[in-house]
Amino acid sequence: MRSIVYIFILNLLYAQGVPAGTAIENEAFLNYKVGTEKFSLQSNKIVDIVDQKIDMKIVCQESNPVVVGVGETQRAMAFKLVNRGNGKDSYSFTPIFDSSSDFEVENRMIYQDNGDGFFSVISDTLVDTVELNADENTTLFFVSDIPSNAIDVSANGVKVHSVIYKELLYGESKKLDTYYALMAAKDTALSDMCQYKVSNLALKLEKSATLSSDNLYKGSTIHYRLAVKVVGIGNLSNVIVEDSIPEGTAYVPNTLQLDGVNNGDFNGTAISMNLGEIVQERKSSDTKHLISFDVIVN
Amino acid sequence: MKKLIMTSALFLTMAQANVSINTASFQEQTTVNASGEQVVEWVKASKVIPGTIIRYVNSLENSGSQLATKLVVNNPIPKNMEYILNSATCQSACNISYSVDDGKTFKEASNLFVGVGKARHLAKASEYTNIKWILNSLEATAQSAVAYKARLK
Amino acid sequence: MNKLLSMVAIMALSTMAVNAAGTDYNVDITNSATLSFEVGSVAQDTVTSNEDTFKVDRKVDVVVATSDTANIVVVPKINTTSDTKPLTFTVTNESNGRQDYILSASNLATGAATKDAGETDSVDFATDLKVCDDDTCSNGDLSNTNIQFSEGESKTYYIFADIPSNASDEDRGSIALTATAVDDDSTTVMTDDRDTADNKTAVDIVFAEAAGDAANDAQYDGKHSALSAYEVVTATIALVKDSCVVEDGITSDDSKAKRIPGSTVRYTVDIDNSGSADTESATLTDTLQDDLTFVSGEIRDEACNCGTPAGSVIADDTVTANGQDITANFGTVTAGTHECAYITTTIN
Repeated sequence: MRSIVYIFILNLLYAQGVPAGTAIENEAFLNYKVGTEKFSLQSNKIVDIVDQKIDMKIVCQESNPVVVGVGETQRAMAFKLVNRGNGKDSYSFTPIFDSSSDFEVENRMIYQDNGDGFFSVISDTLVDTVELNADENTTLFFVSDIPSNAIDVSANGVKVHSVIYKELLYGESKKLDTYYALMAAKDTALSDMCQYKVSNLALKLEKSATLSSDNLYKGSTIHYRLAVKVVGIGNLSNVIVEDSIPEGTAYVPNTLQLDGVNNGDFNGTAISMNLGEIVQERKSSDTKHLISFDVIVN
Repeated sequence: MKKLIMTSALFLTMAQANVSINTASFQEQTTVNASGEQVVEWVKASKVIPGTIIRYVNSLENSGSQLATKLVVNNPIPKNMEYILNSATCQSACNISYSVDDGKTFKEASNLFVGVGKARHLAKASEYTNIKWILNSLEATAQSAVAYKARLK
Repeated sequence: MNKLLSMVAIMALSTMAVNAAGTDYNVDITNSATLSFEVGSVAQDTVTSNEDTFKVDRKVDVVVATSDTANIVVVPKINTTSDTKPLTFTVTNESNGRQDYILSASNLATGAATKDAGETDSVDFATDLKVCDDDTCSNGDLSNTNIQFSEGESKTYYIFADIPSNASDEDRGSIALTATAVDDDSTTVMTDDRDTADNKTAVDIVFAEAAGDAANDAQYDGKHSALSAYEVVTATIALVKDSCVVEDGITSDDSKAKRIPGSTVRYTVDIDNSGSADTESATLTDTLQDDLTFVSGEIRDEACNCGTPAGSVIADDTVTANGQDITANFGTVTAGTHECAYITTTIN
């Protein structure tokens, strides 16, 4: 009974299998009789080392094409990389492009997310190599500039390479110190693409703040204003503006307003305002909205 | 040696004939001498166990002054001893015969038979009961000896 | 008169018993002869010799023999008393009268002959030797106790021993039973009077037995011995484990498959019985490390070949798993054969 429970727990721990380098020991015991006499014997001990299965997968995390505007810079698309093998591995990346796309992007770069799930040039890092243990994952951003002649759709993505085992094809293996590494990742898992979709309708956001006093003290109020300007022609649906409140401050309840009227939600770290569907038929229309809210310095 | 032949009875009683017979037993003893050689001697029989070979010696001495003639020595073989065939000897000329009937009759060995009918056979050593030696004469003051060997059963 | 006397003397001697062992000791042997002669032609009085007498001495002769016609087969670790596997001997008193003996059992040196023709003692392994007078040793060890034999009497004795657990197949140990003559009603070893001066009033002792099988058992030393032997017939088992990867689901050449999670890994356990006896009830237990999951198991009738199982599956031999504990029942493994348990698992 006890042994069955033990296996179950281990299976949870080692979802991707027994770690590479694990020593599996085994020996056997024999009991036998000759005539009426009993004897026993022990076999030699076998020690086998578990080899490393190299396996990783990268998947585009954008469920819909990322909507971009012509001329925009550093627009990000998110990818998730997971180490599905049973040992540590190091990865390097190259950007890839589907040449049947409608437009080509410029200044392609790949960043590693700092863990917050949002791309930010300041907080995220330009990736070199990423090291992942078995079962670990990380988020990468494909970042590029949208050219002035961009139209419709451009498919771009990331290809993953194992740094240590980069020359191994699927089914090939290489001897390490005490065990082997076997390439178990098929080509199809090693790259993926997301899509940019050009939209003629875009939102421009301008944020400003007013302080309650010249200097900031504990208890000072900061009044934030987000001016939302819609430019271009087209329609956007389910437009949601989100803004995190700064560290060291607390949202002042009931101060979140859209165009002077209480609206929106605060989820504890960010305000969120749903602007619904925006339709603009003429370029000159330029819908404007004002989102405002207050925070107090802790 | 003077030969005196007496014919009258009177002289017979005055005749000086004195022959004695003395019997002794011997057994072989093997010893190793100083040079490491084995020495076999006949010593007085003292360590006798079944199978031991004994040599009996009957010594005769004529201590009288007359010649003794027709000397007959009759030696019944002791009941636990078995005569060793052809071992009877004498020092001076003699005639040897044997009995298988406790001394009633004596015959020479080649003529000594036992049994009747189909069982009749030349006597085996175990059937010998007596040995007889006949010496022709023994001069006065002379000695002689007769001997035989037997094995303790 | 003298003749009559000598005749009477002879008659007295003839009543003494003489049997196969010879004339009893203490019997007097007397020789006497008569002499008749003539002087002139006149018969003289018959002369009777003296009586020459000697006593029949004690001929000490014993024969120890074994009735075992071949080495007695044993397995290691047994106590032959409880397993009733003794060595059997007879001791016969061939002295010319009553004789007492003490008996002892001893291991012969390696290289001594055994009961099987052409074979020799290879090792002194039997311990705790006991000399017993029945085949279950119900009266205990009689070694070195006084045992009286009448003239010509023959008795049967049994030697029992312990066979150590590390005795190997084909080990042979020769054991001798020695009977040593002792003084009447004692355990004091008799001394021989062969070379001492004759004692007229007592019966002398003369050792007459042959040399025996035990070491230092010479002719005429007052003891005799015979050998029998135990021979170990047992299974000699070598147990060898091996492992190999059957396939990993990725590498195209199975012979180059790697041990990765999901790989099929096979263990083999080879049982080689190079001894002379079958083993019975051979059961193998093997606990798989928790990183493995049991798939299947079988036992085949040839030496193990992990990559390519050899031989045919033995239907009656089962391999079962209770969690991580694997039990392989080999049952009987015949002498001179290999059997192999194949245990197939996957790496978690």
